[in-house]
Amino acid sequence: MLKELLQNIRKDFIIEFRSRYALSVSLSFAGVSTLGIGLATAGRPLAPGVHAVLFWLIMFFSAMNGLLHIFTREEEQGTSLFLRITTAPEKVYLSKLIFNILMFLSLQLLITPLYLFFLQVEVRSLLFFLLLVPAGGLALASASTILAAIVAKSGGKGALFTVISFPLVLPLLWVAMTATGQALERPDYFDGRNLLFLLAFSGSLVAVSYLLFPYVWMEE
Amino acid sequence: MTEDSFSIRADSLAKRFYRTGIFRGISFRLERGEALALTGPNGSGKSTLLEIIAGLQRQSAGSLEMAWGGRVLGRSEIFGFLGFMSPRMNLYGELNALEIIHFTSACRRGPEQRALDLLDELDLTRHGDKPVARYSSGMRQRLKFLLAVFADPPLLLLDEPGSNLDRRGKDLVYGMIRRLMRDRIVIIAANEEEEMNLCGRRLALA
Repeated sequence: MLKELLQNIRKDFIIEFRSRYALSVSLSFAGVSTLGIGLATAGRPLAPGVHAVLFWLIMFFSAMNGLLHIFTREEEQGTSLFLRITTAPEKVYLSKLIFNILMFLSLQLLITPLYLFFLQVEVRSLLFFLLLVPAGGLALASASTILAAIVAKSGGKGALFTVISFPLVLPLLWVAMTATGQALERPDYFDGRNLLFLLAFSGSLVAVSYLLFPYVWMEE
Repeated sequence: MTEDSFSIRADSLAKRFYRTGIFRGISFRLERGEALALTGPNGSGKSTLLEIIAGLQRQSAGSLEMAWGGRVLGRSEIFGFLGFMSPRMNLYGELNALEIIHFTSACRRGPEQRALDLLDELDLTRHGDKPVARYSSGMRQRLKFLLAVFADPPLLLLDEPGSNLDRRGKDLVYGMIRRLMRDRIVIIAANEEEEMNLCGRRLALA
């Protein structure tokens, strides 16, 4: 089981390393958006709440643009049939989920300092913020993975992905934005319930996705 | 029935896409050492039937049962017992043959050394480290055949195994199929007479 999972993850990283699709798309989007916001505000300070909204919107669209590819690539290139005959559906799901989580957390490592530096944002509750960002990233990656599988199997494209993902990710974005606003504004702010919600959201979503994925993946 | 005997029984299989019927009333039984050629014009459902047997699609009606040593296999278990190739199935163009073999070998628990021997037999060893995207269609077809057979599955489902192959490639692949069909079940979706002649039985889809 573990060897198979590792081989699947390794395979996806080799393909990503050679094509650099998710990385290029997500980083380009984040870079252009951050630069655009910086130019539009012309150095004027924004309220912490506005920064929180902009920051998570950039994260959301970076995830939607980059992480979708993990499943649509399989359908577009006709490799999904090979994968279906080679690997059990549960292992396909888990490996793609782990790939998306690792990929998105790495992207957050690049996007977060970029946003904070270019827009000169001061984080007053640094520890809470540093825990909140990966917790939100984990939830976004979990949601993106199963939605990407659904969109890929329905023959849809990125636009459909963003539309159907919105109701699902709305609660997590709401919590992440509100908590980020507090972390930027209030010194020594720490609310474990927000972190718990994001982690529980990811956990529930992964559990349901794991059970449903074979039906999404195999049935035609 | 021996410990490792594999058998398939299909009764009145039918497939519809929405309201369009593809085929119906397909029945057959196969035991180890038997080979069946699925014949019929384009669009008659040969590839679809092969994918139903492989567990990749569900039939609209009828029953399909596969047994190993007398035990009926569940749908999720079937994959461990079959080798499959199809023109619809593409390999990862960014990976080279050795990487794909390594990946498949780990996932299907097939012996990697056997795959490397077959790579040599199919005259692909010198292309082993070349990305599959740079392979010719015939080379890709030979690699797909290798991946279908190297784990020694008791059931081989081959959709047009000779397509895109030159004469030498066909001789190599058909020769291997003849050898392999002695101790397993082989089902071939065939458009060419030469492929049909490999099998002892034929099933015509209208």
